[in-house]
Amino acid sequence: MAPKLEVEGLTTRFFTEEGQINAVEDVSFSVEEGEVFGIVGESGSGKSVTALSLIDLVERPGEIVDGAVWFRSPDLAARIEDDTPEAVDGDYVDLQSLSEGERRALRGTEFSTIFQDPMSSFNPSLTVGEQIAEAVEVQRRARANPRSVRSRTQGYGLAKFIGDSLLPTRDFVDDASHDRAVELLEMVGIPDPVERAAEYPHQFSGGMLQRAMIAQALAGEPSVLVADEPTTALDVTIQAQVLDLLAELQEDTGMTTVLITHNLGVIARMADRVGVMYAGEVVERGTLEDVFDEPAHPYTQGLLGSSPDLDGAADRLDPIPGNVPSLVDREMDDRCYFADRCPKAMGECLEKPPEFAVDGEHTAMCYLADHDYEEADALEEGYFDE
Amino acid sequence: MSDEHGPTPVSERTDAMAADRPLVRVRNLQKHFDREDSILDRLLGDTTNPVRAVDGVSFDIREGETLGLVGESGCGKSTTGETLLRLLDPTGGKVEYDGEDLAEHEDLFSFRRRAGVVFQDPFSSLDPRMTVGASIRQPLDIHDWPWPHSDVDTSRPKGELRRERVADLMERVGLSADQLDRYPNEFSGGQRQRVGIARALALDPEFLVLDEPTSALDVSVQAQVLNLLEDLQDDFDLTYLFISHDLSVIRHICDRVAVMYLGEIVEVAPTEELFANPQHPYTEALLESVPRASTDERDRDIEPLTGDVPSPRNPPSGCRFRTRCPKVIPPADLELTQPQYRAVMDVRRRIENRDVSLDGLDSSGGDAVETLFDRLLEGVDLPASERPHLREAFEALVEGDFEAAAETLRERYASVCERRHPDGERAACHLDADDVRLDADGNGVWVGEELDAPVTDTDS
Ligand code: SF4
Ligand code: SF4
Repeated sequence: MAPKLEVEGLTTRFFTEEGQINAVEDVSFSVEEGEVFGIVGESGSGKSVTALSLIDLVERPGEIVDGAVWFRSPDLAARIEDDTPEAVDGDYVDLQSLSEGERRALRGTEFSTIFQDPMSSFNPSLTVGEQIAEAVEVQRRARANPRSVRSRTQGYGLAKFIGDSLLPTRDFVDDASHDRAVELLEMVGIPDPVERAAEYPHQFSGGMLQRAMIAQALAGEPSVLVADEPTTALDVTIQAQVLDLLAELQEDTGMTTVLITHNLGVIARMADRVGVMYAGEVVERGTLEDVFDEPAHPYTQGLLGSSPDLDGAADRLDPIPGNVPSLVDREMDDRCYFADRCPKAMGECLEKPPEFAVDGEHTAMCYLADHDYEEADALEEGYFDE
Repeated sequence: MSDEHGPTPVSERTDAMAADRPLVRVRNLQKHFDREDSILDRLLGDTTNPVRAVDGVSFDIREGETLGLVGESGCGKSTTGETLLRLLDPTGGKVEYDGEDLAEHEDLFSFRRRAGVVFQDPFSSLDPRMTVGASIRQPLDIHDWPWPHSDVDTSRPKGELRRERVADLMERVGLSADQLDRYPNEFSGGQRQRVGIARALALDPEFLVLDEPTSALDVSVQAQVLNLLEDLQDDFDLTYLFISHDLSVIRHICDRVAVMYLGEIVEVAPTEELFANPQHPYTEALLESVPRASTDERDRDIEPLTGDVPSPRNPPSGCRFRTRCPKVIPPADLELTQPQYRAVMDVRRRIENRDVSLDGLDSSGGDAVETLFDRLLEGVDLPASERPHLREAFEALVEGDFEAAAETLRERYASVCERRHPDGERAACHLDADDVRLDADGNGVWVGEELDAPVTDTDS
């Protein structure tokens, strides 16, 4: 099967007063059509910035400085081939090289996003139904004319909030869109969707609003869904409901999903294949079984080893020593970024390891994926302490 | 739950009593918040019932153990911790610490030496303008440590002793004493939490309330802090109340666990027993909901709980979990399966809440009633014997008489779970009552006396 997404060398930096932050560093992975690709990592691993970079929602002072996101869409490729040949390769288009207008038209129609905090994607002064209907409407118009309008609720911010409160334009939405909104609310399991559609976001519970956000994201029948910590703000019983819902929708629509989370259990429940991120890099990737049952990278091993297990208590956890690196460019040496915390760091690790194949498509950015550990080469203890 | 034993006067206490006396004894503790209504609430005409955050919890914490308090957000677990420590004034109930009723203390100064607290957010619990050394030292200054009987050479200058103690505490929690003069923003989250722990240990307490101490941390760092807490418990003979929403962490660190739901404790048991064999349907659902980090996880079938947690301003009568419980107990003479009964109860609740749209119903004919069957019980195949009862209710509904509709359903379908507040040694659930007959699937049927008169909730 041809991948739906091919990410190649994606690199995103933030240019801040403290210096350049290398949030995403030369990240590559591919996502097959109809699968759930999970990206797992701790805070500061770059997983969320990777999500934003996929759909070009990185905001200043951040900037995607390199790389390509190849998206398989034969129709789009054929349509824009003449105007922007550099953005087309066969059936694929490079999202980074598309014109801003084309890219915007893809958001919501082909690409949709859900985030951790549903409040941030809803305008508090409009009813939930209106907002979902509007998403339906925007997508309809965008499909008809890719260079048209932008939703009032996309990229919702304070300035827009003030503007929208002063100038509500309720006549934007027609009946068909409203009916579709109710249908979508019903599809995501909201009881009494007709009544609920007329309510405002603050009248929804957290779990219900998360469902409504999913409904909004599905309004344009996207082929790719990017879900960034979609259940992190929810309690476990509600999380279980929402994960169930996502899995069901995935099955019904055949959507391709990129799921970003710090929660290994959520990954295990949802993902077909997994990328593990550390310090801005994908340090290991493979099928769920590859990564969870045969982890090759010492960081992946450490991550799994430090999680307490619900089904059987270990006497003692095996933590990874130390802390996540800062990602500030001038503090990053050109070595394996995990070397200062790695129990198996060797002399050669002071030079950046390439991505080695472990087995088939299972890869790891670690010399140990290539050859065995040599105790004689071990870095002396305290090597990285100042 | 009532308290049969009044406090024993100090003079009558015997050593034998002291031996099996828990370090902390909490009885029927309540904390209600009378809230200040916001303008928005007033505009919306929201009711002003107090939030019954903690509503009659009782438990013991034995010396040297770690008692876990677990539950979802809003269940009252953190408020329980804060009220127990008298950081909040209780609305009712009693806390005894080492045999003494805290309410009878003139001041809590000596109690504060013996009981400390570590909060979730190491970022906000430390003063950003104070060096971490000063933060750890603060309690020593406030309590004028060292005290005459302290384990140090009290002839030496206090300032010097305190400096040494702070340096020693830093080392004990895995930091280096030469980081004393740094500010919190120079530390990572895990290091800040270590500082918070050092500060809590400054007065050499015997009891710590740990309120989500690792919830803000990444899992690799969380493991470090959990190991540290275990080591400190051994080294300093500490007793812990460990509050967390994370069941894996609770299982890892606790000896016994109390599960909270909507202001009440629904089950208490030794950790292994609770996880291996949960007795309360809520505990069971909670455990089932947690996604496991294992490759078998995808094939594990779970039945997520439906619905949301009700408001703590207006908790359900009887068992507070009944609005979501998959095992709510039907009266004896129904011919309904558990899912059917559940569906009927959901309809009943919606009618009671006036949460049914009567739009587009033609009130003249029988069609309207059929429409309601379709709308409200879609996909539920009810046996013929129950349809007349629902029909009667829906007929009232078509007339707009919600009250009569609700009453009809209440008469036929009322459950013991709404009429009586459950109690129990281990799990607060009617399923293990003598008057409940269990079937092979663990579902119960009420076979006791008629339940037409609501029995008032003894806790409220
Ligand atoms: S490359 Fe070296 S330091 Fe990095 S993870 Fe592998 S063994 Fe450890
Ligand atoms: S008392 Fe009834 S509603 Fe409550 S948990 Fe037990 S069976 Fe469920």
